[in-house]
Amino acid sequence: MSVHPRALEHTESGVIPQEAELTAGATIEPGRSYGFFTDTTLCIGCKACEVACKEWNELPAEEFKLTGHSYDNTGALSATTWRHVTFVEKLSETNGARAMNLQPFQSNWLMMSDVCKHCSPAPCLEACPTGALFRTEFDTVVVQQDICNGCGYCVPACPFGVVELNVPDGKAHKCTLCYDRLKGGLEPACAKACPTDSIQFGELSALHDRAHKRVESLHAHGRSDAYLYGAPDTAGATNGIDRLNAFFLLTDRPEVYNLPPEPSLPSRRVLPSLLTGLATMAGIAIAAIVALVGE
Amino acid sequence: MESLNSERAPYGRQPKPAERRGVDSTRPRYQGETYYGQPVLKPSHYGQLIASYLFIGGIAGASQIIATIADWTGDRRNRFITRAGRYLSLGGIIVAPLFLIADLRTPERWYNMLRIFRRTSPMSIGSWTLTAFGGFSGITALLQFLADRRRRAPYRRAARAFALPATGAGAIVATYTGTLLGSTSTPLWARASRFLPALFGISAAATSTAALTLAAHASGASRITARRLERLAAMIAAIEFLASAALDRHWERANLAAPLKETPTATAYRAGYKGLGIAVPLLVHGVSVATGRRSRRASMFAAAATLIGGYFLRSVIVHAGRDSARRPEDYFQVTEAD
Repeated sequence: MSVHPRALEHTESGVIPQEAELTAGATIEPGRSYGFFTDTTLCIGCKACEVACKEWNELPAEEFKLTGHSYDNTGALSATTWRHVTFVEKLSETNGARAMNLQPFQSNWLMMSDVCKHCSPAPCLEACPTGALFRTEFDTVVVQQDICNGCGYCVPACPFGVVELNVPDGKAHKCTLCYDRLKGGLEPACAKACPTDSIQFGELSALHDRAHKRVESLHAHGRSDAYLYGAPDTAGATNGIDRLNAFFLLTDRPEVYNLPPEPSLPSRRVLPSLLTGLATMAGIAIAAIVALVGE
Repeated sequence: MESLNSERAPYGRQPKPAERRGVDSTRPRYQGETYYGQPVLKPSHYGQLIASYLFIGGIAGASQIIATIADWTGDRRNRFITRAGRYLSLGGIIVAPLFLIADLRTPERWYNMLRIFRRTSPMSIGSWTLTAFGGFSGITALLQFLADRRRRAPYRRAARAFALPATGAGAIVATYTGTLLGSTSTPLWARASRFLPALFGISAAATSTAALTLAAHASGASRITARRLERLAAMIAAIEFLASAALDRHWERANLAAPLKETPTATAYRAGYKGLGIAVPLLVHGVSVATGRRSRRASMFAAAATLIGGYFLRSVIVHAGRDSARRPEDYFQVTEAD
């Protein structure tokens, strides 16, 4: 195996400045937007992303159990699981019979490595009353553990069921898009570990270009069902959510991958809701005026 | 291999920006697909502590409103309602935040709620409103106390002045909790984001009136006070009956009512809230107002039923919301929540 010449320059320290340029072709600088493009047609379900994430972020193992849902024994994203590979077995023909032929592309399997979407704007961040959730200089969304007081309001705010309260430490946790690694010029652990480049890290505009080209290429090869979920003006970026900084290429309906077809930004409901409440109390006040005078 | 070689149109035709508003009609319809029936959303952890806060906070907020109305519109015979309402507000706003803090998973950092103001967060709006409400309610109650002790007009006028901002904040305290639940992704709450603050506000007024009624009977207030409170309670019960029926219909039409029909939620909702919280006060107070025959015991019974029912409302909405978040099919069918 050949070693990159730039890596050889730093054998002494073992630390390569802007290592992401070698591994992901991306220079990491504050003030620019970074994210993930997860191309599910390339996913082989190896779960290297889950393992790399747990390793780097020192996240504890979940309860050891079998779910019975194909090879998905992780179940869901949680406070201590920030990458989760879903397994969808397309086992039956449309008439309900068992599939007897292996499809030439993706076989009969759909696999997707799910992650925090780092939405823009982000419902969890908008809901957070302490400012613990903030947008970093890399346009990612991170919970500051020294500020979070565990109010838990970000949890139901998230349209994707990502962020969760951790019982032992009483704080909310989710994917940080490897904030610490980005600061050090390193590609996030999951993307670096992905052996098929299903998870691609990079600057968002570059990822968008690459993703649209990939869809075009798949369409040209006859896979007309390929589409983007979460890139601007695509499914997943709806109802006030402009884009998901971690976006996906899918080949079946979003629900099949446990993704909402049209997520919405909860904060859009705040003002109409508050005004309805105040109008109601004005009505109550009128009722009180009527009731509290006279004999 | 449904999606691989079936005839149906692919889902992901790239929609143009203009098409993003509604459901793209060219896409195949949702046919109930889920991922092994697994939840998409994480349910909120809210339980009895938050239900208790919603209940007590509602009483505190609405009491300030009723006290102010009684102060401005009524004659001297409303003074009991004003005094009791102001004390009840202060009592409520001292107790309510304790439930909120107890519910935090890191309660020793409660003060971080006042670290920033975020207008997109009902939790932040609520934290600051509670702070302002607590301050103004405290000053108002203190001036009320001085006015009662010293019997001097300046104290009464000062109490009246400080009661105004307290009343404004009280209107938010009594209703923003509906906004708090509505501004989430939980289907049952999100789809009712305009109904919940209205219903919580009405219930806050009902439970506050009930608490004032009990206080009036317990402290031997005048008959006219009891009569006026009973009239108010009857009117609010009628409003609440209509509002909750409208919300039920709304949920039913949105196909989200299933969590309210599961035991024990269904019993708590129907018997606890609808029965004790609405039917009993509507009947007892309604008959009393209509016939002019008043029974102290019946009135106290109806007031107690209203309070219990009001608590059931908060508890049922909180718990049914958690169940709703665990139902992927409920979430998938909600597109643009109102």
